[in-house]
Parts: sequence; C-alpha cells; structure tokens
Amino acid sequence: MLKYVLKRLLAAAVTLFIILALAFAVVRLMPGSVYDDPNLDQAIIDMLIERAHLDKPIHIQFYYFLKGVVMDKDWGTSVKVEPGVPAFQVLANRIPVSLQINLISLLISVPIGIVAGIVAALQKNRGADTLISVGVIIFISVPSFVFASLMQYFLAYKLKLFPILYQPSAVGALRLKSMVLPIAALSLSPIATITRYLRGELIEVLGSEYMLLAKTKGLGRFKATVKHAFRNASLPMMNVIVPMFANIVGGSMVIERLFSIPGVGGTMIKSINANDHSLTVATLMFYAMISIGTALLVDLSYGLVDPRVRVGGKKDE
Amino acid sequence: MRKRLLFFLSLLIVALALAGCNPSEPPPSPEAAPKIFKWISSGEDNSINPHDCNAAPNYEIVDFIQVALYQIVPAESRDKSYYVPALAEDYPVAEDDYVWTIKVNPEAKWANGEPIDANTFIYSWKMGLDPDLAWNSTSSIANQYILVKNGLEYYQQKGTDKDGNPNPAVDWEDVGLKALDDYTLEITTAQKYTEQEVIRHFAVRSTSPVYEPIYEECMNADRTGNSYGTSLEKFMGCGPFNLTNWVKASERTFEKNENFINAHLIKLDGIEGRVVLDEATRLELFESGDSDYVALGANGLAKYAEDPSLISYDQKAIRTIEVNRNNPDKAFLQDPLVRKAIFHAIDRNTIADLTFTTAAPFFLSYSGVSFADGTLYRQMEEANEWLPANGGYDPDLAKELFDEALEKYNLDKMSLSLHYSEGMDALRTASEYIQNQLPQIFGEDKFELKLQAIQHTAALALMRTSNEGPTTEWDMCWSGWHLGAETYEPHKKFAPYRSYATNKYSPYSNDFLDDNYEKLLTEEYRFDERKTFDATVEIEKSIILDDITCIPVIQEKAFVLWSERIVLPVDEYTVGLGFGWRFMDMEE
Repeated sequence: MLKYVLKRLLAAAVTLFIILALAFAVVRLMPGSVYDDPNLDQAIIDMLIERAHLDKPIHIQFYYFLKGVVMDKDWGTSVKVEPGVPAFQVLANRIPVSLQINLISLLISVPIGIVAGIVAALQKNRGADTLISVGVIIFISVPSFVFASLMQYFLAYKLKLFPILYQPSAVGALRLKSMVLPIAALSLSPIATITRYLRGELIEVLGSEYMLLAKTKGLGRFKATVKHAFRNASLPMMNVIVPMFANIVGGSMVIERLFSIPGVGGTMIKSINANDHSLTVATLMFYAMISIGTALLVDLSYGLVDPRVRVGGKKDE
Repeated sequence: MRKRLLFFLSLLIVALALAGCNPSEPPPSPEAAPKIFKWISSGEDNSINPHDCNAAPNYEIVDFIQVALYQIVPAESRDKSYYVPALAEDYPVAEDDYVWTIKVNPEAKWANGEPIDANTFIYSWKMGLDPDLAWNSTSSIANQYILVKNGLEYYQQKGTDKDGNPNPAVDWEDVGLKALDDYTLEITTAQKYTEQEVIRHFAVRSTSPVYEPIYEECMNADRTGNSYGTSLEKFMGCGPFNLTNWVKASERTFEKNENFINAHLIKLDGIEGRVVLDEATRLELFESGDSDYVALGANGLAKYAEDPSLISYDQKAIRTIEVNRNNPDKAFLQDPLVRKAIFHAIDRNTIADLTFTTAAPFFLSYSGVSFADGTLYRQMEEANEWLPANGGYDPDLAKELFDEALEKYNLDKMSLSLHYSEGMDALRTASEYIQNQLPQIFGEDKFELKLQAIQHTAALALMRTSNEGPTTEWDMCWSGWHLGAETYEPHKKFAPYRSYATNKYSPYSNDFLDDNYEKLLTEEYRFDERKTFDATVEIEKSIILDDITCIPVIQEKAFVLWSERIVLPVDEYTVGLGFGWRFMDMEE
C-alpha cells in the first residue's frame, strides 16, 4: 500500500509539473500583454516587460518562473485582479469564504441525499419514490443559479425572511441567516445527484440473494437495508461524493456573484480576462492540485470502505 | 408616625421630580438617527493605494478616504463646483512664471491624528514617481494639468526612448518638487501655467499623500514593488471618511473622519457599501430600501425608462470604430473614402435609442469644459454647426461613396470584420444593427460584415498589432478613449490619435491633427481659451469631415436612481464633481 501511495504521489508530482509547464506556456502565449494599461507610457511598459523577463523566449521565462517558485516560493504577484498581492495570497484570502459555504452545503447534501435515496429505494414505484424522483429530475436539470434567483426574489426580497446578500462581516445569527440561501441553492443539485445514485444502487442491492437471506434470518427491512444494502451500495457512491469535495474549494461563480460572496469562484476567468498571468497560472495549479489530490483520495478510499479492495496489495505483486 | 413618613416621602418625590425639571433646559429630544448612506456599487475594487488607483471602482473608494492639497466642492448655487484648499492652507502663489509655492495647512492630519506636512507630500510624490516602482497611474503627479520640471524624466528614466536607447538618469534633486520648510512646498514647472491649472493639478487623486510608516513596511526587499493599500491594515487615509471595514469586491463601511481638514463640509455620518455585480439583485436592494442608489443597466431601464425620478447623464467615453490601416489584404481601408462611406451609413440615432446612449457624430464628448466660466465645449455653437445633419446618417451619400470606392479599387464586394468587446451589451447591439444595416445600404451582394466578440483587453492588444507591422487579423474594432485630462482640456482627447502617439490603436496619419495638437500645447494657445477652443474645433472637423480618423458612433450615458431620503448638493450631474457624493445629506 505504501509503495502504491508513493508511486501515485510521484506520478502526481510529474503530472503537476507537466500541467504547470503547459499552463505557463499557454498563458504566456495568449494574445495581449500583462502591461497593457493605456495610461502607462511605452517607456515604462518596456521597462516592466524587461524586468519581468517577458521579452525573453518562453523557455527562459519558464526558467525564471521555476527559479522563483523553488528558491523563493514566489508564484508571482497579481498585477490586475488584486494588484500587488502575491498570487497564492489572492487565493488564500478567497478560499475560506467559498470553503465555508460549500462545505456546509456538502455536509447538508450528503445525509439528505442518503436519506432520500434510501426512502426512494424502499418505496420504489410508490408515491414517495415518485415525488422524490420528480424532485431529483428538477434539481438536476435546472441550474442552481435559477433556484438561487428564485429563492432570492421570493424568500429574501418579497417575504424578507433572509438578507438578499451574504454578509461577510456580520457575526452570529445574521451571518448564518445570510448563508441560508446560497447554501440551499448550492445543495439542491448534490442532494439530487446523491439521491439518484443511491436509489439506483440500493434497488439493485435490495434485490440480491444475500438481502433475501438477511430477511429470512429475521432482520427487519430497515435494519437489513442500512446494515447490509447501504454498506454495499456506498462503495460506488465514493465516486460521486469524494469529487464533490473538489468543488468545495472551487466556489461557484454564479452563486457568489448573485449573493455578493467574496469567494474564489470566477478568479480564474477574471485573471484570464485581465491578462493577470501570474494569478492565472497559480489558480490553474491550485485546481490541478485539488483534482489530482481528489483522484488519489478516491482510489485510496476504496480500500478503506471495502476491505475486499486491496489496491497495490500483495496479490498484484 | 406612618402618615408622617408617607407625607415626607411624597414631599421628597415631588422635590426630586421638580429638581429634574429645569425650565432653562428643554427636555432632551430623542437622539437623531445617524445619517448612513447605503451604497450599492457594481464595480469590483482591488486597491485603495492612490499610487495604484486606475479603475473606477477604486476611485470611488479612494475619493471617500483620501484628499489632496485641493478639492472640488459644490457651489451654493447647486449648479457648479469650484476648488478649495484641503490639505493646503491657501491657494498657490506664483513666485515667477515657473515657480509656485503652496503652504500645507498646519492643521492637516491623518485619520490617526498624526500631522501631515510638506515632507509628507515630497515623500509621497517621490514614491509615486519612483522609476523602480513604476506605478501605472502616477505619471499624473508630473504631468496632468501642469508639467513638473523633470518629473516625467525622473519617472521614465529606467525606460528607453523611441530609438530604443536608455533614457538618461535623473536625480530626484533635479525634479521640480521641493519642501522649502516643514509647511512650504515649491513647485517648479516646465511651462508657464495659470493658478487654476496648478490648483486642478494638486487636486488630482494621485497627488494625495501616502502614509510613510505603512508605505515603507509594504515595500518589497528590492524596492520594486509595494503592497500599500491592498488591505485595510496597509492603509492610512486623510479624507472625509475612514474606511473601517473592507472586504475586497464585496463590502466596505465608512465612518466620518473627524480629523478631516474640511470635516465641516461633510454631512453624512457614515456609508455602508456593498458590491453587487448582478443587476437584478441591485434593483431588488434599491426597491427594498437596502440601497440609496442604483445605476441601471438595460434590464433596469426597461422597467424605469418612464420613471420621472430617473436621472441620466452623459459619460466621457465616445464609442468609436477603429479601422485597421495596416491591413495588406484590404489597402482600401487606408482611404478616407471607405471610412466616410461607413461613417454616413451608420444610423446613430436609432442605435442610440436601442442602446440607451447618445448619438455621437462627433469626437469630443458632452462633458468637456472649454471655458473658465464652466461653458462646455459642446455647448458652443461653433462646435456643433458644422456637424453632419441627422447624426451623420446619409444613406444616399454613403452608397455613392461606397460605389466610388468599389470602382476605385476595382472590387465587386467588400467583406469586413468588426470586433466588439464581450460583456458590453451596447456594443453588441450596435454591432448587430450595423451588420444588418450596412448591406441594406451598400447592397447585399456588395458588402458583408462579420461580427466577432472578443475579450476587451484582447481587443486592445489586437488593434495595437497594426502598429507593429502589417496585419490581417482585424479590419474594424470598437474602441473608446476617455482621459482624465479631457474634462478641462477637451483637446487632450486627440493625444492618442497623433501619428506619433505610443499608445495608439492604429497607424494614424492625420497631419492636420499632428501639427495643430502641438500648437495647442504652447503657451500662446494655453493662455488663450478662445484660441484653444477654435483650434480644437478645427481639429475635430478634420477628424470628422476629412480624415475620418476613426468612426464615432455613440456617447455612453449613465442612468441612476436615488432614494428620496438623499439630498444631493447639486441639482444635476456636474462636470468635475459628478453628483458630489461626499457632500450629500439626508432627510431626517
């Protein structure tokens, strides 16, 4: 297992380096310049370009960039999106806000999705199942920002039950209240995804022979479902739930825009539009690290959830 | 005994009650509610450093928390504005034609109560013009309304000249910005200027002071970068309000700065601001009373177009179509004949109606002031009498010119492209209209226009490629300069259209503009506003009637709503001051 983990870590490092090189090249070769402010005199622009080595060939630029990263842990400084702020600091300032909203959303989504999935599977083709399935279809097919807009309009603007905007500096009840709508909007789709997936898995498992055996041995339906069926159905669920964690730090551009949440969503697009190269590369690397880390986590989690799975175990060697 | 005790107690209560009723003091009135302006902004701020403040969302904040030697204030007549000393004690004094002295007010203080003196300004200006820091909006310290002796040379010394040779080194000692003593500044200019020009110059945002202890802490090791003003902790203000809470691009809270030198002019107690990018949400906040102000976009206008409380005003930007004169495949674009045909084929009035803008068959906006009494350039008859009728739209003339061009260049058909910036709805609508309209005028089989959306900064970069050499990448592209200096010197708008301008969008070749612009910079013209005005008209004529240096189409307009409780200091949007936000009041 350890060898497997080390191998995967090495592969992840190589992948990250390739992504870094590609990201750097693509971003630097994009049309437009970091220093395109029309107020800036050409003489100054020339000096800044020279100072940032942007007048050098791309491989030399990459060398200077890597040197900065390795020697000084310097990923560059944002020039446009947050001028003067180190690129990773820009992300570090914004991630906690997105993380808070998205983590709560996920913590709510998982149990609700599981309960709804179990109910739908146990009540297959009955009223409750139909109701849940209709909800699932709606929540999956309608984008979250539509629900967000509707909730903002009716619950906040019309009924005044919640603040229209997220309150980043408020404390206590007002802060929590201002988080309800964005969290609710973000939760609907994950709840539907988990419900649909679990319902399908459970229905398959519930019809299996060992479930029949469990029932004939006198186990109640609920107990048999939770103790045996759910456990077996939850293994493929890891494929759905764990990647959701990757989205937690990614933020949601539209929801954040709608509720004025100062999160990380949209940083990538903003930095690309603004030709803020350092921030674009840093953001790309951040997402790459999250994605690769998540993929690794999914693989390793199989072994933890199901003892039958022994990734990189002795059998393979 | 018990009765007697009750009697004395009653007496005591009455005595105490009477003691509390002092006839000379009226009973205390309930405390007036603080005047808090609820401000919803649509722009994402990212810096409050006056040296690195080059976008409207940042100006909006900095203008509340910073002030310079002078500041613009509303006149009591509510229709004009004028400059008063702020951190300066009085108006500048001319020692001779090129040397001015300004006294710093000994009462001037930072928000934390520490004094501001002449050395504060010298440090701030030196840092602003520092060639290694190379701030992108500080050349205005040396060259906005006045040209400070050796100021630009100091700022640009690490760059190269037009021929690629390194610029000569300049010592700070040679720059015309000096402190004669703790409270006296001496300014040496490169040319002769009026008192108003000097005052205006030292009211510019970038000339406001920075707080040295924090600024030095924010400097990087090799002094080539500085993070001043990137967070609340890295800033100290001296303006009308103190920023007490700042979540970038989301939330900002201000409290009145009691240490502000002109605090008596400020009526508000504070401001609670949020940044809301979504227009529908901004409207909801305004309608629910959570905002005192809203700037309307297309959706809001659809709802409030007929509302009597809707206020509109012209913005500086004239949206023009730039034409690539360096396209080897389409050499005909160099010919004013083709540009004229397109100019006259555009129905500006209809486009303006569709896009909630103003038709602009002209180059200089409605917001430039030409005369000391506040008369705007476009208010003058001479600036308008020559303008083509019907907003320049003349389909017959357009067709005639177009056919002539086809014949001249032996063409059967002209296929052009037009790039417009993504996210700018007015430009997209205008582009689509032009795409439909031009073939109808020129002939469906003779003219074709392809549209391409492009990210705004990429569009600017794309246009500039034609300065570096022949390029077939673009034919036409929307642009629109709006320069700070054009407010009081409308002719400054011509600067980027000179053939030798470094930041131009296309290799222009309007010799008349080149020659006459230089004249406008001489003392002979600058001290004669009528002469300047006449020359400005002649240059604009050459752009519109002869060369069609670029094709002006619309002038941007802004639409806003104010809540009823806001009392603005001016009756309408005023050039230079705007609505005078800092000086607004609120109904009790």
